Amino acid sequence: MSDCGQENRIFVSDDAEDLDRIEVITTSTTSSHSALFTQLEGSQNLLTTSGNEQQFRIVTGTSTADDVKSKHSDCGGSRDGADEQCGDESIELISNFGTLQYRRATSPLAVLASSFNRGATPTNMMRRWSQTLARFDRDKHGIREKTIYRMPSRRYLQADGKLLSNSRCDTENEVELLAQEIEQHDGLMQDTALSHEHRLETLRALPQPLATKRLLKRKLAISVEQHAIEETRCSWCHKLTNAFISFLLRSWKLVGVISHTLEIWYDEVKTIEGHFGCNVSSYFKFLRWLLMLNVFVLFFVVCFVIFPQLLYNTTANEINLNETVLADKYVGNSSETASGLLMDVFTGEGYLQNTLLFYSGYSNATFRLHPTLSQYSLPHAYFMTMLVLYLLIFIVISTKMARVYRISFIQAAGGGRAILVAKTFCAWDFGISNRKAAELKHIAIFAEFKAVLNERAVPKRKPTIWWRIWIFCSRAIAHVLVATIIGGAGVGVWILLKELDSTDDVSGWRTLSTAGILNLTMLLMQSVLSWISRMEDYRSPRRTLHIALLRNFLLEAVIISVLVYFLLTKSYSQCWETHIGQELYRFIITDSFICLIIIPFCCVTRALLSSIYWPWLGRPDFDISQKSLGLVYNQTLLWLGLLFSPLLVAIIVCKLFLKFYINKALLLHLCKPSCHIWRSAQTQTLYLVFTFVSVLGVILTLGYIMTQLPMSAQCGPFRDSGYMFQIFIDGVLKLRENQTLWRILTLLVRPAAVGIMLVTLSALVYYLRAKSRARRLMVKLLKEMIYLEAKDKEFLLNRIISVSKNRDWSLVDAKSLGRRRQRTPQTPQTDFFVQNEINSNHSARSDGFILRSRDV
Amino acid sequence: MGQTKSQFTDEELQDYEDLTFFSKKEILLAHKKFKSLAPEKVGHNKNAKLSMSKILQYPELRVNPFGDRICKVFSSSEDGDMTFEDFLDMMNVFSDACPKKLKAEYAFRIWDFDGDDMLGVSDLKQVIERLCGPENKLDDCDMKEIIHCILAEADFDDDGALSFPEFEHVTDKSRDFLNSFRIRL
Repeated sequence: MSDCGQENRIFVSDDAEDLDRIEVITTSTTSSHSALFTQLEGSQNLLTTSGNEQQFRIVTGTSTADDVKSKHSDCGGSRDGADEQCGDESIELISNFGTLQYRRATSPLAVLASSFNRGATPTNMMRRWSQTLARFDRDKHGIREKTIYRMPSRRYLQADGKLLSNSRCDTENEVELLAQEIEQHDGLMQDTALSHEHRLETLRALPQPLATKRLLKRKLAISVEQHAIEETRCSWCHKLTNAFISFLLRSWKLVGVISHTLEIWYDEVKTIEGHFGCNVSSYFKFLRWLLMLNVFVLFFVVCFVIFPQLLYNTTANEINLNETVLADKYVGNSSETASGLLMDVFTGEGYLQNTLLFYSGYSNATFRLHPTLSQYSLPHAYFMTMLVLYLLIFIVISTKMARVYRISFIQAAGGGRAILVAKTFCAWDFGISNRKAAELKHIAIFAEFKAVLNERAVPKRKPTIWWRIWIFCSRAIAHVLVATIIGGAGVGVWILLKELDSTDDVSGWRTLSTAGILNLTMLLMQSVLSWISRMEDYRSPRRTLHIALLRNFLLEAVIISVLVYFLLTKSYSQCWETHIGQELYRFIITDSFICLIIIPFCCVTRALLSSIYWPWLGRPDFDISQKSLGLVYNQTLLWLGLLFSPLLVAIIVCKLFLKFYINKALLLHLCKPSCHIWRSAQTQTLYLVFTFVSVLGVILTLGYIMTQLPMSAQCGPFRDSGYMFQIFIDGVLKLRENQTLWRILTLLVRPAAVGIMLVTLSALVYYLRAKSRARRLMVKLLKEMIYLEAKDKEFLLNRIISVSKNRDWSLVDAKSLGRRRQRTPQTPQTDFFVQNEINSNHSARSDGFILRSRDV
Repeated sequence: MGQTKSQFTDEELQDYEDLTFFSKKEILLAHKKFKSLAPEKVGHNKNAKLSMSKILQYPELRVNPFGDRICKVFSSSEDGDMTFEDFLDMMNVFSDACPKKLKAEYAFRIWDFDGDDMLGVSDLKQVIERLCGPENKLDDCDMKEIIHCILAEADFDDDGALSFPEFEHVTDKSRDFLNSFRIRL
């Protein structure tokens, strides 16, 4: 039978769910299809169809096997050629095939559609797997798959002009079909708010014009109403949940509308996108997002902490009751001159020290905001506001990061190999609206294609051992060098801080020296690190960029942590909280000064020089990566300082606001657009990861401060409680030593309990990891299966085409058919023996082919 | 805005809101943009059909190498002329909220120049030519090489063309497809 000598087996599965099924599994891929085919022909009960009375074989019996084989060798050389040659026969064949199955269907296309449509259900394995998915998700998915795959590949129809002209079903027919499909899903056809929303969602995701969707919506509404009338029994509980859900949906929609209205700088971002594409605008969007986050924080701080304190200050002034506040207020009145005031603004010393800017400006009083209201305790308000804000920031950032990470790393996993495809299909930025930008984009795309071609043209030499050693050594040296630099920077900062601390005269402008030196060091170090990573000669520019960014982030982290450690271990005369706040205030002020004045000034100078004197200098680049990292740094400083200097957030808000306009002006008027394509989706994720890491670090540090450091007793809202957290334990939870909750809490923080928790978490992580590995293996297996099935489908279609050339339908093996008729009594219509399935498979969405037979 | 609002009934707006990813305000904004392409014509009849040349005045479409294809795909009369509903359909697909799958479906239609439901060699050739622009010409050999590579990467069933599932798979795995296939209203 198998002349080719390769193995082909036909397995007859006795699956309990599908008795009517023969699975064809080939163990070879390409060359031995003819052998398989012969085998198929040999098992005569396959590939046979029967209508009501008529019976005919599609595929010839054993007697014609040789004939078919020779046919196959005729036009099987190139399969595409065979397709074109045998195109019209195949159509006739398939449509015959269909008419037999569905006698009622009239349009040949509808017939074809329905015969292929049956294939849209996933295979059993996929079905089982997908059942675990959310119900509505599956429904939506299923419907969409069906609507997309409802049409068979038109390639097979091309030869027949008539069919092609029919290919556009009239709208009503289309609507009818779609409506039928949607109506099959119970979850979508109930008269509840949720179901309504899901129905609309399904409609929105349909690839149909608006007119069709509208008709469909009306039609579904009518059938839902009928459905609802039939089902009149409706408990009050049902109604209540329905009302509640509809309320939730409406409010969610309202939130969406409001957040959309709050979206500032819409036109500005659009202009930037039109001129420079979405990569540059993503930086501005990141900036805008951080700004909105900070405005949110500012709102709460002003409402719950600053406003009550202001109110308290005025009443205290009027009645002249609270001496400490007054004493605090006028303690630093020494420098009243203009230059002194200016110096105070930069250093945060003097007059500013005891204002609301810093921790010591807040009192520990409990008072009435208004005579009719109950008591308002400032320390509690301060603590709770900060706690809730930090937790909210943490939650917002971690969810956003998780989402972006999922989209750009997990969902896109395995797409790395399709380089040129991505370069082609994602090359054009549809948001570009500027002619000059479009020309640049064309040139960039062209250059990229050329680069790929050049890379392919150079024959890939296997790298010699010496070359590898060289690469390895140079990278190792670079890593060691960078580690030394970062470590050195840390040590240097420590020494510097000690040195500056030991000098006695640290007042006036000299207090700014720490912040200034550290910020400048960071700026210089960053360019050194970028230069080193450029020397390292990584193959992809993205990798170079990522490594440079990672190193810069490490440098920042090291410097900030050394600073924080120094600040926390330093011995203070009084009010150490205020000193920390002041130090961070100075950092932020100097950083703002550098970002808002010095760097734009350098940019302008360079642009002027290049346009007037030295054209070789070139217009400055707009370095998105460094700027984004700058934003992360800025944000880290803010989060560190917020606890002891609530108004810092107002400064940051102003800074970001100015930064947006300055950067926009620089970008539009001075900078040159980048001439290479820079894909940023992953890099954006990296910034969010950095932000997340820094917020995590900050929260850990603050946790340490709250629980381990005794508060200073002279100033601030927490002067009465030893540790900051005690205000929570004593004041809010009202816990005492021997209460049950207290005991539970102390039990929970004991090392044994923490250890058990850690072990459990590790076990959980291990379990999930094992699961994900197994899934990955499964996906791989499924992909292989899809590949094989696709091969089978292609081969069998070609075979059908080639066989249909030979229209001798009389070659029915009457004997075998007769035998079968005896065994299986006629069942109307559904009694067909061959069914080809175009499988829309879940993981790779390739087409597959399965042969089915009712008669095994 | 007041005048634009009067051009739609509440029911129409509700329909548009239900069936697209836009809010009512955005729909009115879209209509304003549509109107700005031909103020006098749309002022008389809100659903006026604008010719393809008028539609191509829209800034993003004007510089887009596939502008004419986009018009044809979204036009209900299939000749590139668009009514407001067609325009809204288009902006809907290019909006931020539109899911990847729907975008992929329309991207496939846009790049399927000969309408055979497959991205064949000739389609890919046109796509690449248009991407490189009129000034930059790749020679035949390079073009063949690129197409060969593309097919090797994405054509899973070896039939010499990308079918929709193959195309969707590729775009699904691409990190930048969502970012690039987008026009802000």
